[in-house]
Amino acid sequence: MLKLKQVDKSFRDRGDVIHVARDLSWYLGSGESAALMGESGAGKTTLMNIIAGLDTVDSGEVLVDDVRIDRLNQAELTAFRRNHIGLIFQKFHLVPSLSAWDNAALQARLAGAFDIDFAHHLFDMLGIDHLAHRRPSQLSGGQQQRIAIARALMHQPQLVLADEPTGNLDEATSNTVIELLVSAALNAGATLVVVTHSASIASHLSHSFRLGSGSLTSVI
Amino acid sequence: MTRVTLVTLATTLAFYRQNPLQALFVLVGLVLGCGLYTSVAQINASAEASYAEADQILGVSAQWRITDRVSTEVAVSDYIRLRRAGFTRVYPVIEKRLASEDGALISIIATDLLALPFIGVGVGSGDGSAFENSPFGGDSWSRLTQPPYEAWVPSQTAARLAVTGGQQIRLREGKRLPPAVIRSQAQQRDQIFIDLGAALSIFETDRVSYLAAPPLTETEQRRFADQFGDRLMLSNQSKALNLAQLTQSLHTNLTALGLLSFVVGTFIVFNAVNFSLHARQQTLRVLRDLGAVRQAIVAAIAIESLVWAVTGALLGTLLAQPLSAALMPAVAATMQNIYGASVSSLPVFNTGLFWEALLLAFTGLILALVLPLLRATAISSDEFSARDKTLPSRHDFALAGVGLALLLLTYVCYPIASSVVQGFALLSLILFAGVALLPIIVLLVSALGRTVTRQYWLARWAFADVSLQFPHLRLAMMALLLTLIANIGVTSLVGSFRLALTEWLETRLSADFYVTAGGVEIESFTGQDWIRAAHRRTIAERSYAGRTITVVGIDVDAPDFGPDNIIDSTPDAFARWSVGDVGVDRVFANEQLRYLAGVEIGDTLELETELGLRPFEVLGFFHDYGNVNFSLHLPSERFEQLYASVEPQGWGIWVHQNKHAAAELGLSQLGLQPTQWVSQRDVRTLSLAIFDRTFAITGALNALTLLVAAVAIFSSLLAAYQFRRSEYALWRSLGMSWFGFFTVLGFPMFLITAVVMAVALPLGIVLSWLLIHKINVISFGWTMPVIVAAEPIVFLFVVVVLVVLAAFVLASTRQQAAVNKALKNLAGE
Ligand SMILES: Nc1ncnc2c1ncn2[C@@H]1O[C@H](COP(=O)(O)OP(=O)(O)OP(=O)(O)O)[C@@H](O)[C@H]1O
Ligand SMILES: [Mg+2]
Repeated sequence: MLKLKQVDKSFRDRGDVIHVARDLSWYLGSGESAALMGESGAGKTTLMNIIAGLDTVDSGEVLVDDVRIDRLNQAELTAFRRNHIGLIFQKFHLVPSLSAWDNAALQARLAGAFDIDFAHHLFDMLGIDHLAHRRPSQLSGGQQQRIAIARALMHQPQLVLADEPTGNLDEATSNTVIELLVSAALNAGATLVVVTHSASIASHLSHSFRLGSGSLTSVI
Repeated sequence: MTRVTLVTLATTLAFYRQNPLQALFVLVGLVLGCGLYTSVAQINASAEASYAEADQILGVSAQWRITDRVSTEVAVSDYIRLRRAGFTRVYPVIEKRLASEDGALISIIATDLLALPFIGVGVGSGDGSAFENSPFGGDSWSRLTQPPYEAWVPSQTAARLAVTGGQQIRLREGKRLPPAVIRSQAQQRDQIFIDLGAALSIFETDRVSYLAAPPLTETEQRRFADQFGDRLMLSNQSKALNLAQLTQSLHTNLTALGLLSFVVGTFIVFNAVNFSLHARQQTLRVLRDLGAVRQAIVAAIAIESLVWAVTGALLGTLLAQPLSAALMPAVAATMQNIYGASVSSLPVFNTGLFWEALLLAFTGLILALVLPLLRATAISSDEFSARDKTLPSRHDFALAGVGLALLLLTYVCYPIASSVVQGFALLSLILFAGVALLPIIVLLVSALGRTVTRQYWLARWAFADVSLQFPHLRLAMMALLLTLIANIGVTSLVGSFRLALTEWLETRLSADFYVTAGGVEIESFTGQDWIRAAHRRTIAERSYAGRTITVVGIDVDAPDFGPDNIIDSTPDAFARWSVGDVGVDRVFANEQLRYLAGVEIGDTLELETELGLRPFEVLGFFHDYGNVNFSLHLPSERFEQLYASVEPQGWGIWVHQNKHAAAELGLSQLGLQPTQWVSQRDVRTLSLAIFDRTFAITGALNALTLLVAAVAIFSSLLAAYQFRRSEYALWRSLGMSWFGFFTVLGFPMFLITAVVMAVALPLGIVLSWLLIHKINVISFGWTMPVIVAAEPIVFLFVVVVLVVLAAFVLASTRQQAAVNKALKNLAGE
C-alpha cells in the first residue's frame, strides 16, 4: 500500500521556484499497479525518489505499508528500502562484476530474504534461466532489464518502483518486459508504480495517473 | 593560435574549475616528481663540486703530496730540509678526523700560512701584498698564529656541533681546540682550520700528515727524487678523481632513487591526466562535432601541458631547495664517514638543474599524455566488449610474458654486467619485471579467491570487485610496488651493511683498549692480573696496481684475526700462514684485491720491502668492510724482518671480564697519560652511531618515495570512486548499509596491497642481493653477507598498510555525501 498526504516539494533555481508537488495526495492499494505519466520535467522521477526514500519532501506525509518513511532517519530508510522496496531503472544498473544470478540475488541476500526456490521460480517466469551464469556485459538490454526485474522482486517487496524501465529498449522488447514485470509483480503481491511516456505500456497497468503543475490527475 | 584552439582550450580547461582536486593531483605529481629528482640532482652536483675542490687546501692547489716512505707521518725536520733545498712551494698539512667529547665527528686541517704559496707566490719570497689581501691578512694572521690561537669553524660545522664563537671544542681524548671563531675560507668545507703551530702543540707531535705542493715541474720532480727519494715519496694526488670514483656508487644510488621518485610522480600525473581526459571525452567529442578540428584539440591539450610542465618544474625546483637543504647534511655525513670525503653541507643551485627539471616534467607529461590522448581523440572510443572483465585479458598475459622475459634477461645478463651503470640497468630490469607481472598476479589471485569462496556470495562479490577496481588502481599500485621493491632492497642493503660493520668492528676493534703509545714494551703488561692478551699491529704502506696497499703485521695468535675471518681458502691455510715458509711470504689479502685487481688464491704479488722486491703468495681472502685500499696480512715475525724500520703503532689490549676499571687504573699506573689509550668499546658505539646517522639519507628518501606512492593511491582512489559513483549509488539504493558498502569497497584495495607486498618481498631481496654482489663489488671491490631482517620489512609493511588505510579513509570521507547525491540521479543516468 502506498499513501501520499498533502505532499509539497519544490526546487529553487536562481529566482524561480519549480513546484514538483503541491498539496499532492495519492493512494494505491496493495497489489495494485499504476502508470505515472507526465511531461518531461513534470517531476515524475522526483516523486519516485520521494517514495523510495531517496529524496525528501518539503512537507506532507509519505506512507508505505503504514510506515511514515518521511520520518525515518538515513539508516532506517536504507533498511526499509532493503526489505520493502524494489527499484528498476531505465539504465538497468547491474553490477558488472557479478553474474546474472548474483545480480538478481543481490538485494534479497542483503535483506537476508534469499529463497532459492523463489529465485528459480522467478528466473523461470522471466525466461532468464539459461542466462544465470552470464555477466551483464554478455547480455542484451532486454535481458539485462529482466535480470533487474528479478532483482527488484526477489526479496518479495511490498512496493516496486520502475522509472521508465523500457526507455532503453525497442518497442517489441518493451512490451514483453512490461508484461513480465506486471505479471511477476502481481504474482509476488507487490504494489507497482511504473513511470512511462507510452500509452501502450500504461494500458498494461490497472491505473494511470498524470503529473502536471504539482498535482496528480487520474487518467481513465 | 586560432580562435578554434582558444575556444577548445577554454572549454577543456573549464573541467579543472569544476574538479579542482584533479588539477591539484596533476600538479602534486609533477611537483613531487620534479622536486625529488631536482633535490637529489642538486645534492649530487654539490658533492661533485666539492670533489673538484678536494685538490685544494684553503684555495691553494695540493695536487702533489709528499709522504714518508716508512712512517705514516712526515717529520717536521724533513719539511725544513726540503725548504732549505729550495722547494719553497711545499707546505705542511695536518689532517685529522677525531671525535669530540660528545661523540660528534670533527675534521681538523692545519697548515703553515706563511708557507702557503698564495696566488703562486710564497709569502717568504714575494712582496707580500697578495698575502695582505688574503683572508689571513692583518690582525687575523697574528691571532691565528699566536697563543691562545684560534680555531676557524665554518658556520654549518658550528651549527652541527652547536659551537658558538669563543667556545673551545673539547676532544674525546680530553684535548681542547683553540677558541672557536665562526668564519669559513674557500674550500674549507666541513673542516675546522687551525694554525700548524697550534696543531703541533695541541697534538704534542713533531710530525705532520703530509707535505703538499702545487703542480711541480719535471725538473723539480727529478731533483726531488735525487735528493730525497730514499726517505720521502712524491705522488700525484688528484683526489678529485679518486673521490668521484669512490663515491660514484652512492651518487648513482641517489640518482636512481631520484629517478624512482620521478617515475612515481609520473604515475600520479598519468593517473590525473588520464582521468581528466577521460572525464572530458564527452566534451571533446561534442567539440569535434561542432567543428573543432582534431589539430585544434591536440593544440589545446599541448598548450595545457605546457602550462602544467612549466608550473610543475618551477614549483618542483622551489620545493627542491628546502628539501635538499634538509637532506644535504645527511649526505655530507655519509661522504665523510664512509668515504672520508669532505663535502660542504650546503646544496648548490644551478640553472641547468631547472632546465633538467623542466625537461623531465615534459617527458613525464608526454609519457602520461600519449595513451589517454590517443584514446580521447580516437573516433570510436566506447568499444563494446563482451569479454568477461573479471578474468585476465590477453594484454595482461602478454605483459606477464614481458615480465618473465625481463627476469630471464636479468639472469642472463647478471654475469656480463661489469660497470655501475650496467649494474643499475640490472636493477631496473628487476623493477620493471615486477611492474609487468603485477596485473596478472592480482587478477589470478582474485579469480582464485572467487573460486575458493564460491559458497559465500559476499566474499565472491568482494573478490569480483578486485577486477573492477584494479584498472583504476593499477598505476598507483605499480608505483607502490616500485617503491616497495626499492625500499626492501635498500633496507636490506643498509641492514647487511650495518651487520657487516658491526662484525668488522667486533673483530677489528675486538681489543678492549688501544694504547697509542708505541714505545711501551710487552714486558710492562706481563703479570698484570687484568690483562687477557696484548698484541700490536704494524703497518707499512706501499702501492699496488695504482692503489695504496697496506701490509699489516699481525700476531698469529691475536684474537682479532683467526681462521674464522678467512672467507675463501684451503682448510689448512691459516696454519700454513702462521708457520710461514723460507722461499715465499704467505699472506691473506682483502677481497678488494680479488675484485679490483683480479688476484686469485695461489697468485703471487711482488712488493717493495726493505729487503728489496719480494714475492707474496695469497693463501686466502678476508672481508674488509669499507676499506678503499688493498691490504695484506702478514705474520708479525716476518713483518719485522721485511719492514724492520717501521715503528710499531700501539697495543691492542684484551681485558678479563669486569676488569675495565682495574685496567684503566693499571694503564695509568704504567705511566700512560689518559690521552694515550682509547676505549674501543666507545669507538664501536661511536662508529655505529655515525653509521646510523649516515644512512638517515636513504631512510628519508625511502619515506619520501613512499609518500609519493601514497598520494598516487589516494588520487587514483578518488578517480575510481568518481568513475564508479553511479554503481556505488546503486549499492545503496538496494539498501546496503554503509558498513557493508565500505567493506566491499575497501577489500579489493587491501587485497591488491597484500599482493603488491607479496610480490615486492622476493624482488626486493633479489634487488638487495644485486646491490651487494654486483654494484658493491663493481664500485668498491668488497661483498658482505646479505642479511634480510624481518623486523624492518614488517615495519615497512605495517607502514604501507597504514598509509593505504589513510589514503582509503581520506578518499572515502566524502563518499557518503557524494553517493547520497548520486542516488537521486540513478533514474536519469
Ligand atoms: N536537484 C535539483 N535542483 C533543481 N532542480 C531540480 C533538481 N532535480 C530536479 N529538478 C527539476 O525538477 C523538475 C522535475 O525533474 P524530474 O527529473 O523529476 O522530471 P521528470 O518528470 O522525471 O522528467 P523526465 O520525463 O524528463 O525524466 C525539473 O524541472 C528539474 O529541472
Ligand atoms: Mg525522469
